[in-house]
Amino acid sequence: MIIGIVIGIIILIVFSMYNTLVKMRNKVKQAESGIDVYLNQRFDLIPNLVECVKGYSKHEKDIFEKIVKLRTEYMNNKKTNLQQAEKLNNNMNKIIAVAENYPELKASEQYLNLQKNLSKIESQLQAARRIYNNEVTRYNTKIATVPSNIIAGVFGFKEANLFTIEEYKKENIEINLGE
Amino acid sequence: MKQFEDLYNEINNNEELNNAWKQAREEEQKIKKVTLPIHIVISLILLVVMIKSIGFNFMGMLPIIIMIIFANLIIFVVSMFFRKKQREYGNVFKNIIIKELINNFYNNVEYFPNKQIPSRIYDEPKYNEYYNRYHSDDYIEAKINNKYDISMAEVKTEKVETKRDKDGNTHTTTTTKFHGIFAKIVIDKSIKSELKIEQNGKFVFSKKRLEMDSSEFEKYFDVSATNKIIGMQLLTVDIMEELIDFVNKTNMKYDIVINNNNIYLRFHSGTMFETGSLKKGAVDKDMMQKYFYMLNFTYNLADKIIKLINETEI
Repeated sequence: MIIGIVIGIIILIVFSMYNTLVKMRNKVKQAESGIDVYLNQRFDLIPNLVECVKGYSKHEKDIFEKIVKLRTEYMNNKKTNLQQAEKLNNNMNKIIAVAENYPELKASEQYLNLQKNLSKIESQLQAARRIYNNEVTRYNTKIATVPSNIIAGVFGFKEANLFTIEEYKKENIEINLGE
Repeated sequence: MKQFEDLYNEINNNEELNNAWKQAREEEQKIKKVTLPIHIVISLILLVVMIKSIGFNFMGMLPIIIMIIFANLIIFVVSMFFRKKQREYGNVFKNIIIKELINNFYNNVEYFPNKQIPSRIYDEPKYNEYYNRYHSDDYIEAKINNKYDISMAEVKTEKVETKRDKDGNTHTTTTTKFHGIFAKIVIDKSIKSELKIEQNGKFVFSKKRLEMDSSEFEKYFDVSATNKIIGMQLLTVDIMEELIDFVNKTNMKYDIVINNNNIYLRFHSGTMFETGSLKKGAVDKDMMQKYFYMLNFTYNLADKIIKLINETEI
């Protein structure tokens, strides 16, 4: 009888821990989809950005081609790939850095509008990133600490990766014009 | 914008304020000279009369002590009617300190000592509190950066409950729900959502709860947001530091609600802009520093939020 009660309590604890881990993992996924929305919005601006900068700069043909290719790959991939997104984002930042070197381009209405959209999405993306990383940290801590690590190990809960996308800052990007 | 020390020296050297303070102090000393012997004589008479009639025992002393305290309280209350200069000093102090301090941060300052901020404005942020008695005065209207309206006042809300016991006697209890400064700032852009930042907020298990990525911030505040992305956009590292810094500097409890294009701030400061102890000079420096931090914080926060909303097109 007592053994039965003890086993029952243990099963309940296991269920409860399992459910908590599932809820936390779902929250991570939900936060990830939030990032995906803003990443897509940001990358949707790439064609406009390339078009806009192309007219002023003839030297960065390679970057333009590379970014268009990366965007197509990213868009064709149904599942969010944060590493791919980071790569694409870094290249996008390079183009913005190129644009920063052309005062006429910077003053154009088309670019100003683009920049307005970019800073809006960038701010939203950073907010989504903070929410996501918060959830990931809580989830990773949970699956690494006793006793939830046992349940996590048995049911195959894996650590989630933090998202470290770079915000556009001119000083972070090196561009050699005319190479 | 002047720094605290400059502003303090300026106010502390104000001739009108110093004259009012000197007169109030002289009056206080005169009142003390008269009331102190009265306090002593009445206390002694009461003590002697009661000991003679009841005798000297511990239980018998209790009503004597209560009577002495009561008698002294009456003398103190009566003496309040003769503190005319102290009331004048209080008015001069309020006028000077409010105008000088608030003019340092805001433009077009107008101060109405007897006007209240309407309770319907106080109710706009829908604070999680029930009150049935509302009092407000020291209403101030001004502009931030010559553009955004700010209105603030001292507010006190209380819950008054009257209960009848078995014997038919009524008992009234009054619980203060909030006492301090309430401010409303109207900005030009709406965040189209609501963000609440409270100390010991009651939304720990709420779905709107927003967990922040700063353990230091989480230690002091609870955040609830109807739109979590906008909440995070507004609570940047810089703004979180500003909020923590104010708690560390003043130890004052406060809360912030941003609802569409309105920012509401509540400082649980108790009575504000009152003269300190007359012994501490014309201006109590510590108290003035608290007022300065509060106004500086309100200005900085509003300024940063307005800039952030404009820059990030929230």
